[in-house]
Amino acid sequence: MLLFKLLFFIPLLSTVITYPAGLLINDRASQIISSSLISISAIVSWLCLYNYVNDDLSPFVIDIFSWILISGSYLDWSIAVNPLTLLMLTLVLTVSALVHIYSIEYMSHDKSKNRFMVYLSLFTFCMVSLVVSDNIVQLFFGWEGVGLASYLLIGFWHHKKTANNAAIKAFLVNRIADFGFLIGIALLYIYSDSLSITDIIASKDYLKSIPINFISIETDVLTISCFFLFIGAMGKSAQFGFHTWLPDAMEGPTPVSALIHAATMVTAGVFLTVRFSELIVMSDFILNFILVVGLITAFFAASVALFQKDIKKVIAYSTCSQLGFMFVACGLGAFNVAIFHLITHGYFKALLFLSSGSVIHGVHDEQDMDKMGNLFSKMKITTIVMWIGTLAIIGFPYMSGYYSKDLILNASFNLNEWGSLVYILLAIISAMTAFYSFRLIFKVFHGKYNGNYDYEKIHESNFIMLIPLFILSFGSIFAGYFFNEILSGHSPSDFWGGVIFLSNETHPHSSIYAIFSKSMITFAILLCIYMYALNLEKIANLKKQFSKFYNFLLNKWFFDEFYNKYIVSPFYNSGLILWKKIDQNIIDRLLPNGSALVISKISIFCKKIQTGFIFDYTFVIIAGFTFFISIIFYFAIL
Amino acid sequence: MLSISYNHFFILSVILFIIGCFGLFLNRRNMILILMCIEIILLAANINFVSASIFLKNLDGQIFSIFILTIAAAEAAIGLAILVVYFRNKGGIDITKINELKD
Amino acid sequence: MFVVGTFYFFAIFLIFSSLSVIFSKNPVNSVLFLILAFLNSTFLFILIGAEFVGIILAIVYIGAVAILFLFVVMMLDIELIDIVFSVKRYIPLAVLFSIVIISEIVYLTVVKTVKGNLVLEPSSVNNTESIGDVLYTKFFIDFQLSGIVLLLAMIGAIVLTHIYKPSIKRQNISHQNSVTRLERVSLRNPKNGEGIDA
Repeated sequence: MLLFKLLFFIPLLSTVITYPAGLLINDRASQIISSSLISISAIVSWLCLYNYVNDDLSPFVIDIFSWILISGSYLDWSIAVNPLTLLMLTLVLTVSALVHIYSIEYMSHDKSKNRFMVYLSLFTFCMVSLVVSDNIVQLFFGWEGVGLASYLLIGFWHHKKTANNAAIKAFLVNRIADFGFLIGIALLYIYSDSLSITDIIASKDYLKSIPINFISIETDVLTISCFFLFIGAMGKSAQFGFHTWLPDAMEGPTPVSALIHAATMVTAGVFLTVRFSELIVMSDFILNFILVVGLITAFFAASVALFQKDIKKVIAYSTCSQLGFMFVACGLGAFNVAIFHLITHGYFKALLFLSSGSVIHGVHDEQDMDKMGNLFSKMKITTIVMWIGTLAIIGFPYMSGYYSKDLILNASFNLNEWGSLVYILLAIISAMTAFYSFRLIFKVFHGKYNGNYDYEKIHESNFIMLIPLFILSFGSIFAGYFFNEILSGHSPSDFWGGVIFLSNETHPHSSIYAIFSKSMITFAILLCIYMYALNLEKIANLKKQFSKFYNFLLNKWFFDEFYNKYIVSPFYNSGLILWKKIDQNIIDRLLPNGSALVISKISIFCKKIQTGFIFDYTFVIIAGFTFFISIIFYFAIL
Repeated sequence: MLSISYNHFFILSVILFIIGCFGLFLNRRNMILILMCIEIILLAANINFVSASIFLKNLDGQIFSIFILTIAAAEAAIGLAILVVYFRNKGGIDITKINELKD
Repeated sequence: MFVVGTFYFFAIFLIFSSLSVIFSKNPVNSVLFLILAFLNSTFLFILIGAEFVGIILAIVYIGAVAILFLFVVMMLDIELIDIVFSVKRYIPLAVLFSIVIISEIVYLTVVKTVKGNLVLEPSSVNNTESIGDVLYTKFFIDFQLSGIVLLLAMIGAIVLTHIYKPSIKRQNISHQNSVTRLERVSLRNPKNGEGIDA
């Protein structure tokens, strides 16, 4: 019991004591304290998982303390112990611990190391409270908390204007999606009269039976509330339409990108969907909606990633695309596969980000891939590690991505009618994934160096930065094989124990389709080798020929420009008009400024009466005298 | 109008008083005029007092008018002394120059 | 009848001369018109029957105050200028106010009289005697106080216009009395044939 509680309290402790420790002792101490505390909690999380599986426990809830009094009963701050949360916690805490250790070295030249570690620990704590919560309010607290930590960390270098703008953009887009999330929470609370997740899931039949009319659409409560919950998930996981914040979030330091925007925060959306999986499967419309959104996102992000110039943006779009894959898995009803892919993706995406951070550190803060090349001879370990991550992401046989991606592809046959179309689309997207991943490798590590920095000064990174890379590459290689049997082998329900929905359908692996997908990937790799490793001049010609298409993809389908023109600008302009014209000109001018002006004008007028000549004063005296005589006269008459 | 009553004297004194008052600021020439207008005002008050005392058959009005006389003489003396000193300091008694009450 | 006529004659003359005080160009003329106004009011008082007050008015006002005015007017260098243009602004307002007040007063006295018709009756008492009866008995303190006021005015006038010239020799009694021997007398011992230098 105590072990489970430690999971919650150690990140909290780390958040609280890191900053004072940094102030009192020195920055190095804060780094060491926070890294060691989070590492301890990571080890504890693995122990908890081991205990759970070994002792064959069933899901239960530990209450920590009473929080809010709502309609007669207390809302508790609680830890839900079940396979889903424990699994997520291992991923979250492991990656977080590795990022803490990595940033000891990566941020060693920064002057606010202390603040960075505090924010990392704050993020970890909020993510933990999101994952372990048993009631929706605590989940929402964690949700907003990770949004806040993301804002703080993206805008960490707050002297850069672009970083500030990116942080605000991330927070705003999240906020809009959270509005939908709140509507979903409210609907669930009103109709099921409880805030606890287990209770809500238990009342799913009841929720399905209540009809509701939403903007003249007749549905039931379950569909509408799941729709809004998914809107919230879309915002957090940067799905199509809400994705604009994710590439700009690369303004933050690389460890931030690795932790938040690869492995943990963006997976909170998937986690939410899987947590409420029992509810979601009751509505076919929502399942289809999730599937379509995931597909569109995966395709869109992969297409944009094909020609990006910045190394971190390629990996960011890759994350976006892989999240689309996870939502496709959810939409197909294979929630356990989605979690599996989430975990493997967490490892190799964090690996990719951290090794790109090592590359950036090595070429002295240059992020444009056009200015890199032939780094293999200078940074051998980073090259090898990045190759491992890339092979994992494309699903090279027997690496971790292979298991999870193939399971998603096969799960598309859960659909009766469109299954083969979905499979083909997913195969094409996997091919695009392979293309841009290898494009990155070839541009950065092979070919010719054409950067501005002195080539001889490029060096391999410090061993403190390399340790997390080694651990993550170990995870990338073996996590797939390790978790495959447990999560989705022959009897997954032994492990999951009813926490999430498991489809009972099994389909045979259709070999034609498998050959198709493998050949697509191979073709993409060969095309990439042809274009980037061998023939560089032809690329320039092709760029000119297909310049419109190239521009469209490079500028991310002009999404930001579209949003700016049709959504941001009207609000901004109307706000400007309301402020400048109405507030300043009309209201301010009339009421406060106007009354002050009137008083000053009256006083200037009154000042003119004081001419200084006595005869003017006597005139005033006599005028007043006349006035009073008249008053007395009128009173005498009446 | 066939016999004089108190009203006639009262109206006369009011007219004189008004003339004196408006003479105070209708002059733009010199300051002696101010003192002379004050004398006119006091004369108007005197006429009022004396006529009231005669018509009301009470002697208090005339006694008081003697005192008014005294005070008027004293005040004229002091006023002229001030005028002389002012003339000594400023070199003229042009009334348009006396505006130091203004800031 | 005779009384009415004289009253109107003197009253109109009085008003005319006081208007001329204000509107005449020469300040000497103003003083002279002031004297004329005082004279007319003296006649009015004598007409009513308060001859003591009238004569006192003539003596004090004309004989002292107006002479004082004449002295000052002739002593100071006053420019003879016409009414400055800017007065004309006030004239309409002045006329308006005066019409307002006078009409109100006239209305009050003529239309709504308070104490009926007070008429002039010849009295049998001598004005001077009756004033003398009261002035030194009932109004004795006021009489003395007015004397003090006159004393004050005299002192005030002297103080205001007195020019202190330090070169004029004068005595300072208290200073003379508080002199000590050391300031006045000093012992010297001159030799034969020599004098004392300073």
